[in-house]
Amino acid sequence: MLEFETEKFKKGDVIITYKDVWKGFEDLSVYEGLNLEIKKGETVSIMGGSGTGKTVALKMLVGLLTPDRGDITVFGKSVIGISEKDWVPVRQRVSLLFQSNALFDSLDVRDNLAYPLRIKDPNIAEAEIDRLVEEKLGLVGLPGIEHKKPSDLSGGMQKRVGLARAIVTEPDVILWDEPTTGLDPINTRRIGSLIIRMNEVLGCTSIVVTHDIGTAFEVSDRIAFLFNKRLILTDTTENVKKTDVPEVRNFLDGRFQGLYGE
Amino acid sequence: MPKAKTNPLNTTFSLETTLMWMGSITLMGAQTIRRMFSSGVEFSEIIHQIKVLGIKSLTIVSLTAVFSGAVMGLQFGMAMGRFGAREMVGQVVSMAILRELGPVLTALLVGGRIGSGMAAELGSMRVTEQIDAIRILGADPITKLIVPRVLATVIISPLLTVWADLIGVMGGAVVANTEFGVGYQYYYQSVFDMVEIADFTSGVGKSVFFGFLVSLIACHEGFNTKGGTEGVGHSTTRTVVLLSIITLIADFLLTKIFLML
Repeated sequence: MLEFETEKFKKGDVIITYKDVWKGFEDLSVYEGLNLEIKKGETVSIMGGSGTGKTVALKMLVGLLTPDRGDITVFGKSVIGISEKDWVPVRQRVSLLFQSNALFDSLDVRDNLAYPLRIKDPNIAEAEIDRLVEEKLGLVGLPGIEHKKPSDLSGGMQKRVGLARAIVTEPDVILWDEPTTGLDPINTRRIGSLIIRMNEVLGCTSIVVTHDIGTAFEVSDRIAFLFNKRLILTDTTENVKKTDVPEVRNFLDGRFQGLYGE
Repeated sequence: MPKAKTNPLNTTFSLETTLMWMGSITLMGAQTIRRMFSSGVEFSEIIHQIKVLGIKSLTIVSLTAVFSGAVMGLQFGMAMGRFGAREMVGQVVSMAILRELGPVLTALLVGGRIGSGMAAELGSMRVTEQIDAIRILGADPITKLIVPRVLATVIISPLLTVWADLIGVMGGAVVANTEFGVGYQYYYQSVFDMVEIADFTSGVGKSVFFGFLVSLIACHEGFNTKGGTEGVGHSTTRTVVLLSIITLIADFLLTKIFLML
């Protein structure tokens, strides 16, 4: 099984790399040479129009999709071509918060959070599960909802339960797939605050895929902008705000010229 | 490359897709069997599935079996009356039920009710990314989702078949008695005199195979659902159609095999 020495990596060290990654689906090409480095402790937002393959970048990082070419490394180890068994330690360190939340609707909130804990340690005591579930629900601002079913919760609450499940095993990296989609402005702000809080409290590295400009500016140290199958700009949030790269400027200003082939 | 034809179920028929489907389901069958012996299988989940799938199917299986037995009793009683052999109706009805109707009707009903339910449930889990979430959280979806369903169906299918056999033969007895005046004691005695253990075991043996087939196809279709909620509908319909056809084809092949034994 793949072994990681995550403690060797200090804040600011590169822990994730995409090297000349190509990916396509049947006759649709998504990436033709994606290059990106993520450093420990930072929050990077990947932005771009709909259908530019933002989510694909996250799914390749946890083995739900495989690149056609190129290499992806996590904590210095290539994850290309590794077995499903070798993905287990990767996924214990890199946690994905799905756009749809992907909560198990047959289980209540406690059992949703207990699921990864029981997989990580089949002998974990129920009292320890209770403690961790309470702690993580408190962290996302939802104490006391352990026995509710996901269908009894609002979209914003489901998103936060999804986050609690993603962090319950205390990963090093959290991947946020469109975390604010479908949420009202208050819940959008709340999720934005949680992304920052996860970084501060747990020391997590975050990759946020979003087309929500406000959230990206609020939470990110750096922003990477996808256009035409490549990253055309990767820079600090402050520099992105004042960029004059036309495609990025059009996106930020809400002009669609050139963004969707128009 | 020849263009594949598409039917209203949005199912593509071509040699290539058929071979790919067969390869895919064979692979899933092999993975399922291998994982049945792994440590990750949850006994409690198998029990839960037996309760969900088996007990809730009892009413529909009972109703179908009793009326099938009754209809068989009517038809055979009428036909055999032409040869003056009406009192042998119990023997013919029991043979037909034990060898064919019991296992096949149960498989078709289990396929329709349980198979469609499995395909819809797993299909919904696929489109809402719950299956991906299981992988991401470090578990194996085949061990967690498919093995318990397949094992539960393989266990309940012969049990439901035995139940359908009993109820079907009783349905035939009621008709034989009320319509043709065959006494209950004579009916059951003739059944016991005629039926051999092989008649019973061939039907139950087939039902084990049907249980595996039904659950595997249903899980495969649900697991590979694409295209959102519309895809879940397609998977469910495909499952019922496939199960009906494949159960009858498998029945013919299994009957040949059991007759050779």
